[in-house]
Formats: sequence, C-alpha cells, structure tokens
Amino acid sequence: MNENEAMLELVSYYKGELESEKKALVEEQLEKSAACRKELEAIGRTFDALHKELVPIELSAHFRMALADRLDEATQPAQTKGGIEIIRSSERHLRDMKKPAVIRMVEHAKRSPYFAASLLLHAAAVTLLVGFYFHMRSTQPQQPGSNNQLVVSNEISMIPEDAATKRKMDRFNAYSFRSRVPGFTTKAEYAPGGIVVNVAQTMKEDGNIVLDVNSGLSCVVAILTDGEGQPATESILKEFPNAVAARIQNSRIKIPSTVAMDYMDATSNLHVFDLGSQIEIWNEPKWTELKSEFEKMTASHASSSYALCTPERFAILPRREEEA
Amino acid sequence: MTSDADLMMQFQKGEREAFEKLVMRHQVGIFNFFYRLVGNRELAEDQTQEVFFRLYTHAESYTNSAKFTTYMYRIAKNCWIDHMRRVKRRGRMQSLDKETENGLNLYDNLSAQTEEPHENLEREDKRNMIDEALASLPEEQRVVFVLSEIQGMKYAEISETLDIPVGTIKSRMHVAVSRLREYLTRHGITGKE
Repeated sequence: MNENEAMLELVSYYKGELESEKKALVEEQLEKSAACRKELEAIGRTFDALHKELVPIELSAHFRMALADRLDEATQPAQTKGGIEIIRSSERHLRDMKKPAVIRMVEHAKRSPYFAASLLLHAAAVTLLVGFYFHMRSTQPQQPGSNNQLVVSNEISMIPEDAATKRKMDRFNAYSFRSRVPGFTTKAEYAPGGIVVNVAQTMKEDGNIVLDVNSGLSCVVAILTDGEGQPATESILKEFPNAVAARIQNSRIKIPSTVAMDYMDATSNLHVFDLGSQIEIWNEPKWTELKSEFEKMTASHASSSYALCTPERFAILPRREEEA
Repeated sequence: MTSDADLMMQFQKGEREAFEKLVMRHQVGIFNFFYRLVGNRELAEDQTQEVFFRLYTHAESYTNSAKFTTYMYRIAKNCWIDHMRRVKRRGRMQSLDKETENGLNLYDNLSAQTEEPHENLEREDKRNMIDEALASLPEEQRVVFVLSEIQGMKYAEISETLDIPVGTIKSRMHVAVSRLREYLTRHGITGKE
C-alpha cells in the first residue's frame, strides 16, 4: 500500500471499519508517512467537531398523539403469522420438491389407508372453510360507499374473535356521519383522547385551528377555520377563558378529550355546518328547540347546512373512563 | 432488556405494548435520520410517522433473519424514496436548506441558559454551519454519513440497509468527510491545519 492508497483508507481506519490485514498496512504507512499522520489528525478533528455539534433533536409533543391516531386507524397487525408462514413454507417446499417425490407421496397414499384418509379429510376441511368464508362474505353488510381508507379497514377488521378490531369498528360506526352538503363528506370518530374529525377533503393540511368554546346558550364545541383561523383563535381565546385550541394533523382534527367528554354529551346530536370558508361543529343538547335560532344565525352563509349523528349511535360506546 | 427482534415478534402475536416500546426506543433515531437528511422538522416528523406506520401495518413481513434496525432503516429509506418521487412528480423540489428554527432539545435549551448570550449565539452559528455543511453534501453521501455518524451504524449494516457494496460506502464516506472537513475549515470550525 502506498501513501495515496493509505490516504483513501484513513476515514475507514479512523472509524475502525478496516479488516485486520488492511489495518496493518495503513498503520505501516502511518509510521512511515508524516502526511498520512497529519491527514489522520485532520480527520479526527473533523469528526470531533461534528460529534460535538450534531446533538440529537427531540420530537415535538404532537408526534406521539398523531402517530397513535394513525395507528388506531390502521388494520390490526398480523396475529396469525404461523398460518401465513406455514402456507409460504409449504409453497416453497412444494416448489422445491421434484416430481418423483410427489409420485412417491401418491404411491404412499395408495399403500397407506390412514394417509389417504387424512388427505381426504384435509381436502374436505379446506373445502368447508372456503365455502364458509364465501358464505360469510356474501352475507356481510356493505359499508356506505366511500373511498376513505377507514372503510377498507373496517372490512378487513371484521374478524369475529378480534375484540379490539370490533371495538374500533363500533367506534367508527358510532360516530360516522355524512354531511348533507353536496360534495363534502366528513367523518367523526371516537379515538383515545377525544373525538377526531376527518377533514381531508375540505380543509388545508396546515394552519387550521379547532376551538372549543362553552359559550352558554349556544354551546359551540368547535370552530374550524382555514386561512383566517389564527386571528379568530386569538380573539375567541380572549373572549372565552375556557377555550382550548387544537391543531390539524394528517388531515384530521382532534377535539381534546376534556372537551369531548365535558361538552359533547353522549346523548345529544352533533351538527356540522359548512359555512363556506369555515366549518363549525356544534353540539347542542337542545338542538330541536333552538333549531330556528341556529338557522337564523347561519342564514347569512349561503352554503350553510348540517348533518347529524343520531343519539342512539352516540350511545353505543362507553366513555373513555369506563372503557379504561 | 428485551431485544428489538423479540419485541417485534411479540407484536406479531398481537401485543401492541411491544410495538409502543419499539417506537419509544427508535423514534428519536429515525426522526434524527430524517431531520439530518432534510433539515425540516415537520417533514422529518411526517416521515418518521410513515416509517412506524409501515412497520405496524407490515409487521408480518418481518423475520428474525435480519437485524431489526437494518430492517427499520430499510423502510425509512423506502419512505424517503417514495417521498422524493412524490415531490418530483409534483414538479417542485424540496429545499434542502434548513428551516429557521434552532433545533435545540429541552436539555440543550436548559443547559444553554447557563451560558453567556454570545456563547449561545456562537454555538447556534456553529450548529447552523454544520447543518449547512451536511445539506451541501449530495444526497447519496449524506444518507451514508447520517447512517454512520448519527445512527452509529457499521458499514456492513449500511450496506445491507441501502443495498450497496461496502466499498461504495467507504468511498462515499471518504468523499463526504473530505467535503465536510473542507467546509468546516473554511468556516473556521475545525481550526487551521
């Protein structure tokens, strides 16, 4: 190894990434060459400076919550890996087997009545299982048409023994609703820590704000605004000392549990207004009585409309504390 | 302490707590990997979330034959590639310049309070310069450097993660370190040689 070759290996040498033979050659050069030693020192200084300043950065406080929400929506992880692995390994095994071995197996079945009977039983069991699966599939009720991933997730998660998945689906059904405003669909669902509203189709990804305000008579639970959200937030926060601001994450708005539990009563309706540039979610136990008043309030908004979740649907699920 | 592979196996059997432990163990590492690649906290968090989401939804594809971190960073690499494809498809390139945030963690901020103001500024300047130096590296070198220096991976692991030969890792590291050294020397961070 000459000096130039050694120079090229010095970073690896410094990091202890050289195999012993090469390491010995580099060390030999280091003894001989002052330039190599100088180069190694410079590399050391570079790494020292980098290590000193490249400190780990912490994640924001929102990260865990956003991740938990997203994972809640995801399909359940593989729980029967054994089965899948068995199928895979069987396939591999069968691929690897040569034809004479298959013939040998058939011959073995002919010779052994027990083996033949076992094969027949297995075939019958598989046929029954497949038939049962297709029967169950054909009798399963269809979800309302939507290209939302949650709908797909629910279809996948209809495994009867999977209690967690079933609970998730109950949650989905309980708080799923569709706005009557043409072209606008939103969903609200129960999630750990609050109620989540999906806003992917109507709101911008960033900069939207949720406010929850217990304003007495007209119990506004959340006001969701887009571009002009920040000034509105500030003024409402000043006016209502109990107001809480939240953020949009991954096209979903989470209404904090304190609000969801305290103000969004499980036996009352949830109303969603599309007011053009903003959306409002109202939770008003006396909606029927106050309907005309609300309609007057929102009359100036040409596109105002509402959607609601029935009390029965709200009543399906236990509250978070009970669940815990 | 339970190994990552064991936790993953437990998760495959349906224990969600095992997955949460994995997240706790690796979230900062994955986040820093992306942060050092892009210099943008929000994007780095999105990508970190995507990695754990894929890990969660594709848990059954993990087998104990590969080291867990290698498997996870391979997912991270794929997330990054997908992201870059999306960005390119949309016709706008992601700026690699660091955003104007100090990037200090709580510990740093607390410890920084004991320093003199000018020391604070000086330190922040240094960090910004190092971030800039990293951002100035071509992406292929930056990925290798980050995996080696920030994640502390051995060349063999990086090779397996990125699916490129160890020799290529060595040469990319060599060039990356030379460039960084030149940058830092030019800005007086490593001192005169």
